[in-house]
Amino acid sequence: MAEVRVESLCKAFGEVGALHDVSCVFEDRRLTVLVGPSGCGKSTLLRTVAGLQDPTSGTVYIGDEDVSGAPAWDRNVAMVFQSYALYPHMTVFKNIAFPLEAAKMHKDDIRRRVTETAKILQIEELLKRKPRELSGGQMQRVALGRAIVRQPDVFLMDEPLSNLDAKLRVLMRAELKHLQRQLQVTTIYVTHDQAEAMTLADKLIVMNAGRIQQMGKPEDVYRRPANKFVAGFIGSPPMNFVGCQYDPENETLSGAAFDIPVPALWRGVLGGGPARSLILGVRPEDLVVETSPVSGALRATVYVIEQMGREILLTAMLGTDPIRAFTSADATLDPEQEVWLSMREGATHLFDGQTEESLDSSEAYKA
Amino acid sequence: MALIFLLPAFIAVAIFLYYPLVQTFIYSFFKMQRTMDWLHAPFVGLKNYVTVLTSEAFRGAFLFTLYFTVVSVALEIGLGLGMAMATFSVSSRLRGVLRAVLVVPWAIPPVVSAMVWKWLYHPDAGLFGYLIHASGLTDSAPQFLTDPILAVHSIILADVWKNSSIMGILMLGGLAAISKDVYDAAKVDGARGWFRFRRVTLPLLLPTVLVCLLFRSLEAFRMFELSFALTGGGPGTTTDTLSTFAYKYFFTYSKFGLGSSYAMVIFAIVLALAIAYVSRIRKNLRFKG
Amino acid sequence: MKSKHRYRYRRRANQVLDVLITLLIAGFCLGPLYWILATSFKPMGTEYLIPPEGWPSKPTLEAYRIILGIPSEASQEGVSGEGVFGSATEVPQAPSLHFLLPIRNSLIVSSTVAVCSLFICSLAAYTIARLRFRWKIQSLLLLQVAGLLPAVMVIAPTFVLMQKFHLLRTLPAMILPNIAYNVPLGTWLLAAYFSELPWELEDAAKVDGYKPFQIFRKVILPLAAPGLFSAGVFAFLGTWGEFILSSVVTMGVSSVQTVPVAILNLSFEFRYQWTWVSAAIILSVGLMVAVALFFQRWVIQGLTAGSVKY
Repeated sequence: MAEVRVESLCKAFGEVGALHDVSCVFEDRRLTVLVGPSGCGKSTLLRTVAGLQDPTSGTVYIGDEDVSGAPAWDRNVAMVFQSYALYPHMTVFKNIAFPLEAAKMHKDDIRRRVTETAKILQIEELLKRKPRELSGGQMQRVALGRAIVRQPDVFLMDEPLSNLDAKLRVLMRAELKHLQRQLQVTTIYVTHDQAEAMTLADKLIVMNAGRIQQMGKPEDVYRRPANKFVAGFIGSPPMNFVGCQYDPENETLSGAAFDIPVPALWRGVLGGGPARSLILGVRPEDLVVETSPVSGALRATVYVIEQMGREILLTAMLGTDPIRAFTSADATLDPEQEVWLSMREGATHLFDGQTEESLDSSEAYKA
Repeated sequence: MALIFLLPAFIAVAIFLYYPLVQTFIYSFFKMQRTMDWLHAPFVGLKNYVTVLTSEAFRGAFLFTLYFTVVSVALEIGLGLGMAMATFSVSSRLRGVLRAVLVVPWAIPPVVSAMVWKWLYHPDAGLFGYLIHASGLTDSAPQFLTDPILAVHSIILADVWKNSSIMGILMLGGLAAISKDVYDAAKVDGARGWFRFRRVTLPLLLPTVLVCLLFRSLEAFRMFELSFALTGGGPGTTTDTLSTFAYKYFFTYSKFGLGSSYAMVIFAIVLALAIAYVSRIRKNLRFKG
Repeated sequence: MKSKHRYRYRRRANQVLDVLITLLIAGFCLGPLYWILATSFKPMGTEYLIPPEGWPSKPTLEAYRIILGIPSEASQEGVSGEGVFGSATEVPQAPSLHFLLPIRNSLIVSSTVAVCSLFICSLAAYTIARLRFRWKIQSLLLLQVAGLLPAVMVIAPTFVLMQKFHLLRTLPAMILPNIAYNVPLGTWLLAAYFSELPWELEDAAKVDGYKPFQIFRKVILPLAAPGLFSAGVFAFLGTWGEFILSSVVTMGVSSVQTVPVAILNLSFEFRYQWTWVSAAIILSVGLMVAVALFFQRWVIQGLTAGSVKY
């Protein structure tokens, strides 16, 4: 059990920078998820913690020990790969036993530990098989088994569920969460799937272009994104964004196709300040769709109606910007119909037009 | 349709490879001295084969060929593996350089490479002789090509030089084919250098090694140019391989019948080896088509 | 903080090791050739100096001039040591010293063989790897077993054959058999390479109504360029180095000799002139090494294309 700390980590591949001055803490015994689009640096960060890559500069601490120069085999970490990386020429038993044999453990102890681990993961019948005889889900479990059999300080997982089909993925997600709770080992989990990140994380770290965008509990990141990127990345369907101008004289936000009073939430922050360009953000689930005019609401034209069964996902055009909203499944809407979308209290987001930072500066979630 | 595509290849092979095989087979049953006309030569049945198999010289050539093959191939694979691992571990810029370097010995024709080594082994002015003599190990420059034991091993060294690099390249390919994730997993699992090599790299490289073993040993068994050019088979016949020996029957003694039976025996041995190999490693090979 | 000290120099040490390894391997592979190179630049007779010079103190192109048959002005340098010919001006104008001739012959033979065998092998390999017919494995086997024949078995009947068709002492006598000799390896390499190509393009062409030969020419060949290159290089290099058949069939006629035969003859005829032999070696090797290096990427790719998978 150990806390993992990363300080001022930089990594460049030739001219290309993969990590820019990244510092964060992965709390002891918690499941921290690194999430971001492809190429954001999350895998690089993970591999640096693992010892598979040397950073260009910066330090890595596992426990209180500076392990920055140590190669992977000297760090007490275990890793699960997206491709599972099982040893194809060994049986499942041998695969799981491998790290223990590398540590020169006694044969009987190895046997005991491996069978225990197999029991936890319910793969006892598979012990004599070779990897090529296993299904994706089974290979997953063997990879997990190989990781947990060592009782390491840290678990590292690099998109372990990405190669599984959708249904299996959802099942394994829950199992992983449960397993981690049970074993109480510091876990760093990398994924590009924001839904997976939200459901699994004790703490979420959102990354983009080699930098940390925001850290915090999933619900906090969801409700109070620190910038436009995080707001747009977390949550599906993604948040709607429209550009607008703050008019201090009339206390309104005016965009190309709308003109609304400043929402109560933001009056304090904006009030009395200069005119500025802003980005208004609101999630589809925070919009209420009306077919008759509502004051202070956004007026849009229906474009596409997607019947989801439980509800309808409506895409409407606000001038030239598409805007999405949920409405009840039995609403009757026609294309080209005019609708009024009102934003729920306290559910609006404002970002600076240039920096794209959230105007909500009272909580500093970004490192 | 397919047959038409295959025809040119079959024809070429039939004329220049299978026809000689049949012809040699026929020759081997006749006593032919200085003539290629088997229609008018006396038929001797299996007498040629008996002569060949019971001759002292044959046993000598066979033993040398066997010894040469085993030792050369073992060294070549070992060295090749070492060079492959070394090349694999260096930075990618140097790796490109090394790969180019490794190609060089292989690109040289066997005869030419024999000449290169003949000069190195030269009794009067050869570099090796000088180095060993000057360093005080011996009283005079060793006779690499005329001393029976030295000659055998000098030939082996020349062969190893030429071929271990291509073995290295082939095994480099095999190393590259191992998934990088598996290596990473082994590293994270706590496997240090030698343990990783023994338990992960080597087993996964085994198919490649076996294929290299197969091709190289079949080639080594038929070795001709090195012995011919370096020692002419000498001193006496100590470095005669089966091939050089058969050659002598054909062109020095002009005993075409005997030479043919000799050639047939070589072929039989090589074929048997090939069959034995392939059936043994069948289960380790997985090859499309 | 114990770790930091142990690993501080790891990266630096690795870099040093890298360079050492490179030097070692390069030394091993290139060393003997360097020695020949140095010898080829030594003035006649000086190659016998004890201790031998690592690099000639007075490097000269004498040896190259002689073997290429280029007349040289009387050389001013005295020759120390035991040279067979007193001074460099006594250059024998023996025909075997026009070394460009064997090089030309080898070039002609090897390139012709390479092109022809590529054509033949790719057709056969395509059939075996991609077309559907019953005796695939048998065909491949048939072609491979032919590659096991020892050279000594093949040359005598081939000699007789060439004699019957009056092809002795000509270049075709070396071209034709070598095409056949390259078939086993060529088809193996190309079959392995072809089998790795994606199937979709062929299927699309078939649906579009192309005939097999057109598919072969327009779809497969362009895709398989690297494999073809490497098979071609193999055929070229293999034929260049072929000795037994060439020596038998040229029957000592120097105008049709190929490089290996010419070099061997040179070394027998002028067995003391190691500078000349060295120069000849460098000339022929230089060309081949250049070819190999230029195509090395494809060569290696071709070699490992059919690599066995676990």
